[in-house]
Parts: sequence; structure tokens; C-alpha cells
Amino acid sequence: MGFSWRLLPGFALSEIGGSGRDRPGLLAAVSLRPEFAFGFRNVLADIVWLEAVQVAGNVEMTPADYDRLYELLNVEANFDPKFDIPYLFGGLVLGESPDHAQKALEIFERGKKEYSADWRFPFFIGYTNYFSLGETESAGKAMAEAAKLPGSPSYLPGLASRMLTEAREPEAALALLETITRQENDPVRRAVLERRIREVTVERDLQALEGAVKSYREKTGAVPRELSDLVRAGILSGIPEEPNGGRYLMEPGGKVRSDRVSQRLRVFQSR
Amino acid sequence: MFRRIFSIAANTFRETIRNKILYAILAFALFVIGMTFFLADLSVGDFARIIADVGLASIHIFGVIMAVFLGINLVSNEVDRKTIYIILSKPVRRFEFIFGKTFGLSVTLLLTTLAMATVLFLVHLSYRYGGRAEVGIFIASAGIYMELVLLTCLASLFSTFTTPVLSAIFTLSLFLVGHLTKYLYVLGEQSKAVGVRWGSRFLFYILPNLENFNWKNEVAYGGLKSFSILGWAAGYLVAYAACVLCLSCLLFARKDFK
Repeated sequence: MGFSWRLLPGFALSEIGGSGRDRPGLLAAVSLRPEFAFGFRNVLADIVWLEAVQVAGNVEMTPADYDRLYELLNVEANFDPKFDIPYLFGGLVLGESPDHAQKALEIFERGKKEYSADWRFPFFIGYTNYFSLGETESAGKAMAEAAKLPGSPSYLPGLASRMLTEAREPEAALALLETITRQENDPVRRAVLERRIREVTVERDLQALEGAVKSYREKTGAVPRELSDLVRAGILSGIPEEPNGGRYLMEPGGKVRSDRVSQRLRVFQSR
Repeated sequence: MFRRIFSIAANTFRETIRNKILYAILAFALFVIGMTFFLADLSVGDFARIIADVGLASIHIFGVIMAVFLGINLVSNEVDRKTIYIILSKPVRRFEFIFGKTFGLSVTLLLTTLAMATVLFLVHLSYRYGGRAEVGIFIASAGIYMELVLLTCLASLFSTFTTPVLSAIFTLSLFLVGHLTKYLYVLGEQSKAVGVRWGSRFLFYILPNLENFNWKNEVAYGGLKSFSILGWAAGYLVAYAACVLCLSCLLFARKDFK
């Protein structure tokens, strides 16, 4: 298999077609045979990790960025499988994209293989299953597995049972998320969890507003021109505050959206 | 005999320690190690790990550059400047010359490695997020130093019979191969041909296994706590270096300077 002489490919491998698909960057090629790192495995892992941090730090991550992050995390793990932070942080960021949640699970599973006694890996597998894929059963099982491992927080058994019993309701998800966030000590992971809380809050508000629009339509036979019509009609006591500092807007046809969130969470929408 | 070896070693040490290029390489190495303090801020989570990994890699890379650059000129400089005639016309045996030269350069490398390791230790200690006194830095640096001594012996071997450029190429090649010997053995064992299997075994035992001195990767996980790990590696170094130096002396003894 050939490789590009660039240290790291500047774009996701899946983005390029033809012969380019088989040509990873030099570090990716070396990572498949880490012996050829000539004793510099850790430092090469660090170079790839720093690149992954830069990709994950983008404010607006595109699908190509998520693909690239996934590849960088795998290259990093090839060089140094014992480095735990990339699995935890990278998996958490990947899980933010619904299209990459399965890849996030792969990253967590890879970390779990290296650290089979560490409760955080099954915990984040459960987290991703619940909040990104809406797989409540798998989530509950993973949380129950995490609860059995040494050092796991005392709230985990309760969390596992709630995940197994409660439906995919934003309100229930927010309660779980707030519990998890309160216990999280790492500031970076905490920031990711807080971002997820805002996303779920937006979804909860949008569902409530769309429910109110439906009631307004049933009551008046017309679609409200703006959200304040819902308050004037006495259906809502007020318009909720957008948690990202933006506004909720009414679209033609009765759809409501946030001016700060481009993609809604599919997990909490009815299947 | 030891007095004569010591005199040549002391002279070589004085000569190499005054080398301005050595200082340029050392200054650049210390600059790179210092910069890891800021590089670590780019990471997430285990920040101090970046300092230890990049710092130790810098010590290793710059150490190899110093060992090769100074090692390949050990004998050829004396021949070029014709000072070899003066030295060998005195009651100095040729093997004493080779041993003295190698020891002298080893002391120079000891000082430079110690300087780099100390700076790295202090940078690691003073880092604001998770910095700590990491003894493993000195243990891993000791491993790097042992590797540098072995490379110096190899460079001095090559410098007895070939030009400095070829010596550098040979030494750097052995540096690269030296980190692959175990892989070479594993690869050979997978072959169905008996000849290939025996060939790979032969190469495994004859080539230096520099991974015996490589503990850089353990520092990040706090696995290096005791200096006792150095014992076995030091034994390997003494045995291998003795063989290389004996071969150097043998070749140098047959060299005709007329």
C-alpha cells in the first residue's frame, strides 16, 4: 500500500476518491507498523493527538472534520494504545455528530480493550448510546456494566435503571445529563457535556413550541405568524430563552427553529 | 596504560567540549526542550506528558546528532591534521588511542545529556498543570546516553577505515536498524525458508539492539521509578561496546599511515 509523503493527510480519507483513498499520510502508514517509529512511538502519538485536538476544537465541525478526527484518533491509538485521554475526549466529541456516533462507540470500545477495569469506558459507551443513538437498552446495559467496576460513582446503578425504563424524553435526558455533569471533574469533558445540555434544552423547547403551534392551529384554524401569538392566545405563558444566547424563530408552515442551532437532535424525535 | 588512556580521553574531552558546533546543537536542543512548556498547552488532559515525550525525543535526536557528528571525526581529524604521527610516535599503543578517544567523547556526551535532562526535568517540574518531579526523565535519559555511547563506539569503528561521510551514513543506518532488530527477528521467524529464519536470527544477535536502552515511552505512565533497570542495559552496553572497540583496535592496528 502506498502513502502520501505528507505527515498527516490534510483531509478525511473518505473525502477523496480513486487511488487517493488508499494513500494515508506518512504517520498513518507508519502507525500500522509502529516498530518503524524507531523508538519514537509516544512522541508521534503526541503529534497526531495535538492535530486531533486542533480538529476537535473547531467551533463548527463539518462531517469531514469528524471523519478526520476519527482517523487521527485511530492513528494515535496505533502508536500508543495506552494513552487514555484521546479515547475519552475524542469519543465524546465524535458522539456529538449523530452520523459518527457508531465511530465514537468504536473508539470507546478500543479504549475499553486497553482499560478493561476502567468504569469510564462503559460509562461513555452508555452515554453515547443514550444521547446520540437513542438506544436506551444498550445504554442501560453499558451503565450497569460501568456501575460494577471499581471507582465508579454511586449514582450509576440508578442511572442505569432509569435509562432502561424511561422513554426517549428530553426532560428525562436533561435530568440524567445534569446528574452526570455535576459529577464530572474534567473541565474539557464537562464543557462537552454542558454543550450537550444546551442542545437537549433547545430540542425540549422546540418540541414544546411546536406542540403549542399545533394547539393554536386547532384553536384558531390558522398558523401563528410569530411566536408571540402563542402567548397572546394564552397557550404559552412566555417564550423560553434560547440557552445559546440566540432566539427561537417561527418558520412558514408552523415549524420552529433556533437561530443558533442548525441541526436538531434526532434522538428525541418520534421514530 | 590507564594513565595514557586517561590523557588521550582528557585531551579529546577538551577538544570536543570547545567545539562551537556542539554548542550550537546543544543550544538548539535546550531551546526545543524549553518550548515544550508552551507546546503542552495545546493538548487536552495530560499536559505534562507532552513535555516528557517531546523533551525526551529531543534529547534522543540531538544526542544522536552530537554522537555521530563528533564520533565520525574522532580518528579522521587526527589523520587530516597529521597529529596522529606525533601521538603514535610517542609510547602510546594504538588501542590506547582508540579507547582514550572513545572515553573522552563519552564524557562530553555525558555532560550534554545531563544538561538536557536537567533542563527537561525543571521544565516538567515547573509546568503549571500537573507538573511534577519525574525521576523517570533521568532514567530514560540514562538509557539514551547508553545508546549514544554505543553509537560513538560504532562511529569510531567506522572512522578507523573509511571517510567521515561514509562513517556518518553507516552509523545512522545502524541507529535506524538498531531499533528494528527485534522486528527483524519476528519477521524472519514467520518465514518458511530455513535460510531466512537463520539469517534473521544471525542479524538479530550481531546487530545492536538499541531498544534495550529505550525507556522513553514508559515515562509518560510513571512506570520508571527505579534506577535498577539500568543494570541489565549497562551489561549489554559493556559487552557490545567491548566487541566493537576490540574490532576498532584490530582495524586501527593494521592501518598504514605512511
